[in-house]
Order: sequence, then C-alpha cells, then structure tokens
Amino acid sequence: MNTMDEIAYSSPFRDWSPLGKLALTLSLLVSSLIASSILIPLIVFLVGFALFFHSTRLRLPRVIAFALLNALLIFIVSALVIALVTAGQPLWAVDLWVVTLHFSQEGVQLATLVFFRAVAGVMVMLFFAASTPLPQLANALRQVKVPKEIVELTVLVYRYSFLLLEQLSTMYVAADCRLGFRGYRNKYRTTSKLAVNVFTRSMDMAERSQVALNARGFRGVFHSYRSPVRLSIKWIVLSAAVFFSLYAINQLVVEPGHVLGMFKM
Amino acid sequence: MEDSILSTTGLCYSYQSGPFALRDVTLEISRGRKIAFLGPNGAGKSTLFLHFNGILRPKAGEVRYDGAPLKYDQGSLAALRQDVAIVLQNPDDQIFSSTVEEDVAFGPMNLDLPREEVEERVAEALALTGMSELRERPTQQLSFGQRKRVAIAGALAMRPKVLVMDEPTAGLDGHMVGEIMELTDKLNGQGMTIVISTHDVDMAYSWADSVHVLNRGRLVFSGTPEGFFNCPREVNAVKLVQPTMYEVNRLVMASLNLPEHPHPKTSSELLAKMSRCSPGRLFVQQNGSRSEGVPKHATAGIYGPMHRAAAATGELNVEYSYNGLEGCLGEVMLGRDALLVLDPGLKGQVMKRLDRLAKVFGRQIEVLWV
Repeated sequence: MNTMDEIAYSSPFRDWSPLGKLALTLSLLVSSLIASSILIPLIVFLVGFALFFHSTRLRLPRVIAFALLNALLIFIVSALVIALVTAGQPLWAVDLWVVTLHFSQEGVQLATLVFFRAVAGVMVMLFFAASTPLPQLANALRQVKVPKEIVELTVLVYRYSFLLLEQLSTMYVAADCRLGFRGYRNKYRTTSKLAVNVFTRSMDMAERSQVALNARGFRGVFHSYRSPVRLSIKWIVLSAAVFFSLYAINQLVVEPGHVLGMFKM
Repeated sequence: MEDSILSTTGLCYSYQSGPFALRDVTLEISRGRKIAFLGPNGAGKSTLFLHFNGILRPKAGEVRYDGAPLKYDQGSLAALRQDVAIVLQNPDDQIFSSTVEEDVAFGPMNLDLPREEVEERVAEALALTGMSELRERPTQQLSFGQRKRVAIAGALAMRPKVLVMDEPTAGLDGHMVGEIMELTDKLNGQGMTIVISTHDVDMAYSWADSVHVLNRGRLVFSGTPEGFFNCPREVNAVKLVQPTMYEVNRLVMASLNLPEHPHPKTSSELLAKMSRCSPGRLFVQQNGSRSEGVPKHATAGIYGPMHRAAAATGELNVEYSYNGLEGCLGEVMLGRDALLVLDPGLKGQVMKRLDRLAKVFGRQIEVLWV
C-alpha cells in the first residue's frame, strides 16, 4: 500500500527545501485566489499537476483518491449553486415543470472561476503534501523560529500516530475475528471499545517511551540530526517571480488597455 | 574472584503501592562476559534491568557500577547511561525519530558530541547491525526485525561498556536470531559485557558464560548454565524446561551407560563427545573470496555479518550462511574439512570454542589460517 507518507519519502523533490516548496505553493495559491481571469487558475492547475505527476507518477493511496473524488463532487455542486444564485444577464433556463432554473452569464463565469480556483488549489497543495515528509517540514519550521515545543510535538505526534494506527489495525482484526462487527449494535459497541483501548494503550506507550527517552540520555531537547535544506534566496525570488508573472498575465487578460497604457509614453 | 562491572546488594523495588517486584537481589555481573537472565514472565527481569542504568531507583539496597554506588543526579546518570545501554523488548518503545539514521543519532546527539563523531558512530552502529543501506528509510516503513536492529544500533551508537538487552530474540525469525547472537559474540569479543534476558533456554545454555535466574522477584540461582540445568527441581520450580541439547545428552548417555559429564552445549560438542573418527581440518580466512589453499570439497560457513552480503549475492558459495562456526565445527567433528569465513572481530570467539573442545572434550582441531 502506498501511503501519503511513503509517496512523500520516495518523491524526487524530497530533498528540495521544504520552506522553498511551501513558498512556491503559497505563491501559486494566492495568485490563483486573487485572479479574476480563469486563465490563472488553469495555469496554476497545470503547473501543480505537472509537479504532482512528476512527484508521484499518480500513485495515490486509495483513501486520498476517494477523498479527491468527493472533493470534486463538492466543487461541482458548489459551482452549480453559485451559477444559480448569482444575478445577472440571463444565459439560459432549464424548465423542470415545477420550477425554472435560470443561469446568468455572470453566475456561470463566477462558478467556473471558483471551480477552477478550488481544483488548482487542491492540486498545488497535493504536490506539496506528496513531496514533503512531515518531519522535514516540521524541522524546517525551526529555521523560521517556530517554537521548538511545537516542532517536537509535531514530530512525536507524527511518529506515534503510525504506532497507534498499527495497534488499532491489530485490535480491529482481533475484534473482527471474534465477530465484533456483526450487526449494527455490535459494530457500535466494538468501535467504542476500540477507541477506549487505543486511548489506554497510548498512555502505556507514553510511559514506556519516557523510560526509553531516559535510557537514551534525553536531556529535554530533541536535536535535529540532518536538518532539511534551508530556504534560500533563490526560492524567494522564484516564488515572487511566479506571483508577479501570474499577476501580470491576469491584468493583461482582464484589462489589456490598462496594462498596455502603462508602457505608453 | 572475577572483576565485576555491575552489582546489586539487597536490591528491593516495588511499583507504587504494589507488592515487591524485586526482593533482596544480590548479584554480580562480571566484566567482559556474556550473561543471561532467565525466569518466567513477571519474575522481575525487566525491572532489574531498569535499575542497571538508573531508570529505576531501588527502594532498598544499592546498585554499583565499576565498584561505586550509583548516584542519581542528572550528570552522574548521563555518564552512566553512556556506559550502560539498554535495548528494550519492544523496539517501537524506543524509536522516536522518523528516519533510521536520525534515531541512531539520537543518543550521540544527546551527549553533545561533535558532528564528525556523531556521523562516525552512526555509520559504525549501522554497519554493525547491517542497516547501512536503509539509513534514510522512515522508521514506520521497517519490518519488526529491522526495527529491532535499529533499536540495537541506537544503543551501540552510545559505545557502551555494558549492553543490556531485554529479550533481544523475541518475535524474530531463526536467521535474525542467529545474526543478533553473532553480533553479541562480536561485541563481546571487543570487550563489551553483554547482558540479556530470555525465555529461550537452548540459546541461553549454549551462549551464556553464566546465568542468573529470577523467580517472583527473588534471585534463585547464579552460576554456570550447566550448574543450573543440573538441578531439575529448580528448573521446574521456575517454570522453565531443560535445553534440548542437555536432554539429548542425558538420555543418549543413559542409554549407552556412559557418564553425562562433560555436558555438551552444542551439536558439535555432542559430536566431539561421541564421535570416534579423527577430526577434519578447519581452514579459517578473513577475506571474502575462497582462498587457493582451501580444498574444494571443504564445507564453507560464515561467522559474522561482514561477508554475509557476498554470500547472499552468490559471490561466495557457502553451506552455512548463519551460525557458520557451529556448522563448520560439526563438519570437522565428522572428520571432514571445513572453511570458516570470519569477521576480524570474531577470532577470539573461535579460539574460545576450540579451546573448550580441546580442554573439555579432549579434541584437538588442526586450524589452518589461510
């Protein structure tokens, strides 16, 4: 099974600066959000898709693929609602006998823009998530002076979430073998027991981990052995260049006269 | 009197308001030896181990390291934990970091060592445990056996004088057990004191120089493995069974009307005791490829992790990839020639085994270093 974590660790972009990737992702996201032309979200989507494709070869965990399909459905429904409720020049109408649905030109334009913004945003965030292991990002946050307590907690929560998932999966199998999920009543009862057990086991695990921490000479600080690549000026320049280029393209498409006028004497 | 590195006197301990988990435990752990702790579940082995590096503090009695009582201030404990490293039974309890190398570096980084030394220790510990190729792998993507090796590597990176392992072979397959026991032989050959707890009586019988047996928090035996297993009542009382080799020797000797003594610990020693033929020759080499002076018919075995990769890829043709020393000695006792491909650090262990065969069983083996 390919988990998001495995995909991130095997990404060819893994060794890029996590903060650099974050800056680029944010610049693409913001460009897409502030654009009034549909072209910008389309460009952002294509850039995000190209990076995501190169990073993952479209190997996606089933649960993430399912979540993406769900999200796509939500975006489509939301876009339809926006197209319906936005007033403006009538474009066409659908007669449903009881009611007639009117789509305005402005509504359709806004709905399309919002839909592509959402899809583009998800795509660039997917690229970021599929190329940056969480511990790397957390350790990179040390470089921008995020409190070490937050960074260490993030890394520990990340590490122990896998152990708890493993425990949960073992307990699930054990319960299933003894027909713990037979019938609705049983299913709810077993699920509640699993939840309680995971909680108590996490307490045990914490206790044992404290023993191990002491045994390994822990003195209150989690040192970072291999710090991720730092955020260099190149990344800042690249992110800024992407942002301003997309902004200029947007202006050129939306108000070509205004932009061209800026260059006239 | 042997030089003891760790000792306890009248050690008592109880968890919160519960009954005593350890009662009046007095024992000595000799420097540079291989020690096994035996006992049923709940006997107090793990609790005792946590006293060895000051994780738990005795309610009564004391623990001594290098002749001096343990001090429980932060500085003294840090120094102690550098010398006495513990590997817990479940590797998941002691792996905190997200990648293998980061976890192995955890201990050395806590010692505030210079970067170069941390790198050196991490590389050394990973090489010893055969995890060098997986050093950048996320720890949650490792198998149980690999996680166990990471846990051991993390302890070795501290370069301890005493390595304490709580049930190091529990849940591992036969090859992995063989690898870990070879590693302990190698470390012991370098002078490290190895302390383990186990339920595997066969392993304890053949591996340990001495055993300590605990039952319900009390120390019921300290001495040689033969000394303990010679007392069937005591073995039964602590819910253990006799080692297979011990039983085979007892029954075979009884059927042949021969004395039980000396007690063979391994199959090659049993052969040494029973075989009438004169032993074959043992060729020993430390380089990977088969040396020219070795006869083609000689059965080959590997002892130590260094050459195992070559055997796995087929570069080196061997019959015994694991536990090669025992395999080769068995062949030699059957009168055949054998070739042992050896890691440099394991020469002492080979000499020890040959010495025992000569002194206890009167079998001199012709050893040819090639």
